[in-house]
Amino acid sequence: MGDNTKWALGLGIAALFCCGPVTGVIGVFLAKKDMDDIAAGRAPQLDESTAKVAFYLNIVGLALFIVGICAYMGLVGLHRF
Amino acid sequence: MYNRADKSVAVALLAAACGVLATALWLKPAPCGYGTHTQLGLPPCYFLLVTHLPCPSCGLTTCFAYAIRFQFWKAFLANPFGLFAFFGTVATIPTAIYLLWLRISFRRIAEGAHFTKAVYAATAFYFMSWIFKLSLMQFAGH
Repeated sequence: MGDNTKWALGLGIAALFCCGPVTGVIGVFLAKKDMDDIAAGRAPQLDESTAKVAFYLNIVGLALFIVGICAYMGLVGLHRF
Repeated sequence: MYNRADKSVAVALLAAACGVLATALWLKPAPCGYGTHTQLGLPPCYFLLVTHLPCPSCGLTTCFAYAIRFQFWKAFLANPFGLFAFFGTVATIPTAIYLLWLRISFRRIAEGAHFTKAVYAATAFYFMSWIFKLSLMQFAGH
């Protein structure tokens, strides 16, 4: 597992629990970097599936953050209506 | 090869940086050091509500709102990482114009080893800033 993937996994977990957009965006960047390196053959020793897991974990963290904001705004809107 | 996607990225960076700074100017910084983002209709921090401790991102909007008014010390106390992010956002404007002017792809910068090191450093600073905020809260007796 590459360093970028390890960091991206940790940041993805942080994105899920508290840090949302900041660690999510950084995690997506780092995981994508490893995925690109593997695809280009620059880092064949790295684990592609773990890099993908890290990538999607961060995407899920970002998506949950956006869904949470939309749900809150929707509920506030409904309450006012 | 510089293409339309590269141009779009530079324009998006420029627009995002200007938008963030304009929003920071429009917002009134919360005196408690966090919660300024609720003026935008966004929810309060759930981590803060549940744990009564600030999350690493708490105070970022307040920091930007102070920094755009040149109140850098208050901005630093709100979130030290935020001040770094503020100067990064300000620096994005001339950088994006420079990239557009000289038709340089942002991908070329992002793929460099230095950029990855900078991302690691920023991440470390983000969490160090959180530790600073937690210590400050303990020290202030909140």
